[in-house]
Amino acid sequence: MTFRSLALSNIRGNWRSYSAFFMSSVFSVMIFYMYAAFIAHPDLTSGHIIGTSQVRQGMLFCQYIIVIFSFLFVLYSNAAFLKSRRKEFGLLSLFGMTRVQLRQLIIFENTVIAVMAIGGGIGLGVLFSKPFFMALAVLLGMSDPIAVAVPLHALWLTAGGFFMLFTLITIGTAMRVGRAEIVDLLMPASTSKKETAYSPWLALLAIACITAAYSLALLLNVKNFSLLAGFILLTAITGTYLLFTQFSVMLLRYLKRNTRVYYNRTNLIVLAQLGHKLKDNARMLFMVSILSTVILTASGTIYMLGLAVQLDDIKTQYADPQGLISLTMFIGVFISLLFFIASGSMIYFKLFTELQEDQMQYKAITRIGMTPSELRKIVVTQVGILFFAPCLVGIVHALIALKALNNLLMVSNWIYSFVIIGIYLAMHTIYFLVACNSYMKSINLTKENRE
Amino acid sequence: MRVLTAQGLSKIYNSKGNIVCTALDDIDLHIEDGEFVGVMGPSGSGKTTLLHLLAAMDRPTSGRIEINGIDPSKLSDKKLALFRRRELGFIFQDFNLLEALTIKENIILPLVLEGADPILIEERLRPLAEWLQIAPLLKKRTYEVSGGQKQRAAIARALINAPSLVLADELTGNLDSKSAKDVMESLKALNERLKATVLMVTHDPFSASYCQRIVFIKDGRIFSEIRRGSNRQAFFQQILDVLSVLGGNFNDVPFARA
Repeated sequence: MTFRSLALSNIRGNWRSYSAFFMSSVFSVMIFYMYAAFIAHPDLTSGHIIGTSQVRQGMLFCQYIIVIFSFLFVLYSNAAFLKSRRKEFGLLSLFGMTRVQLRQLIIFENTVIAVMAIGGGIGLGVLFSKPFFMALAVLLGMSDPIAVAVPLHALWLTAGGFFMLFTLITIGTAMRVGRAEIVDLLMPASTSKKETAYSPWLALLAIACITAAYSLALLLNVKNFSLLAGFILLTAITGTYLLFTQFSVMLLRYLKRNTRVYYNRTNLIVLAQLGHKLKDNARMLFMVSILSTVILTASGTIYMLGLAVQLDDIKTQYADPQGLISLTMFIGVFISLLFFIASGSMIYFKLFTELQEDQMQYKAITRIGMTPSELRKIVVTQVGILFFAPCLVGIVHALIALKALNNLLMVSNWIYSFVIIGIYLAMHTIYFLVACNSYMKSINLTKENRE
Repeated sequence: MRVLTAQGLSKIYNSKGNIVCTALDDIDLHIEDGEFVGVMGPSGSGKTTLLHLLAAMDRPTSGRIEINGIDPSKLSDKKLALFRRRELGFIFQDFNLLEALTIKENIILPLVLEGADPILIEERLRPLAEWLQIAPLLKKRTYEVSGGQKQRAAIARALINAPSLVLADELTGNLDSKSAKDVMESLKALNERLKATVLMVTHDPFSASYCQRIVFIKDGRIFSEIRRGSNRQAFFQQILDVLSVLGGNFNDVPFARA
């Protein structure tokens, strides 16, 4: 077996852990390409469609967001991916693989994944350009459909940009992996998990921050907006962070102290495992709830701005208000979708990086006698909390933000806000069901697996 | 009263290449209430297969098992899980404790899953923890205590439900000799005090010398059976004598079952 075939069979054998990283890379490449193709589209550059400079600026702004997003997303999924492979690297080093060889292995594997992801992403991007452009044409209210083209500029930009990104990540990983001690790699990450500490003051501060942010947000008006907006944002973010890192720990402690609740059948396992993992999960939950807030608020805001624009005298300032609104709307929807997929993927990665460890725990419980329905209940509750806790926080935040916006713009459209929240909840639930299902399948406690 | 009846138990593995492997061949085994029985045999003799069949982790190719009047092979998945929880107690070589739970939570898990009252749970826990000398450790996490302490916690968990039969699989396999002695003495004390019925699979003659009766198996068949007199030292010597006749490899370290 040559070195290269070892790397290739590694990828084949570990497809489950590779696939999450691979898929998210493909997804990032695809999004980036579609957008780049749109920006570089001959019809657009020649000013046929919407030629105003504001529009162009808006589109460029959107591109920056996508660049940053792709970068962070690929970085995050790579980190999650590597974490799930610590033990494997430890074993390889133990059997005498030198650091240089380990680095070579990583570089080779990453190159294969990068090439496949870039190729697959661009391929899918070209494939989906047609429906993407058609949707755009509808959104922008154009009578003629935009012709599908494959701009070479976009192609090179995507391929070159992502190749650089993957190279950077690979170098970073290769440097880091060589340095860790074998013992640290081999030990399960959980042995160091001490019970999460919390401060009751910080937990109270979480509630205080959120209450303050909410009440100030509801007091917002045109006069104090510039004064308060930044402050509200800061307190709300701090409050949310403390809510997940401190208050949640306190809440769990409180629930655990109540033996009637805690010692009630599967609650013991659900609550104990939640507490056990909270330290690792808190930051992820915080980020997902902020992303949810942004998604919901942005989608709600854009529509309300649209309403306000129609009422307002902005008409006089811009030549084509309708085009501007449609484009903002498009950008809003696009970014919301992007953030939605990102937030869902973060939870998904979290679930699957801890799969091996969880599998052992579930196996241990099954061995002493746990019915399949009890196991299902435990898994659904745990995955459900991961998915819906940040979603719920995001919805409440967004409702307050939209209420503040209503006051500010003096337009009110709750029906639309609720429709958006409903769509968001529905999409999130679908994501949850898919993740939960594939997680259950991966645990796979069939009879042969039990002993 | 008879707790376990196994009659004509056979297990034949069929691998893909049509290689037939007879792991167990026509085994008869009976265990009375309150007995402490050991099963010994060289590696590959089928002792682990036997335990898996008795623990309802695997189904026999032929033969019949009855534990407390119930044939586990006739139960549905759900009923089987409940049967394992209510009628059987397990002690594993790798402890099988959940690291998310404290020692106390690990021990009471079977009762909690049954929906027992918290007061009853405390009542059941306290004497067990005292006897096993783990009362000061109850609030600790699994990684904060030693192997011997973990195994004593596992014994408490196996016994808290007052099961009909406790099955132990190489329970001293991961322990040093001092911890192994402590664990075996605890298990023997509980067997006498609570009249708990224990079946233990082991390849370690020292651990086996705590049993009242030892069944030796070789090549999937019962080879011989010895009973203990009053002296454990003499019994230990007796075991060594049988093993030397039995032959086979006893120095193997069994695979840690993850």
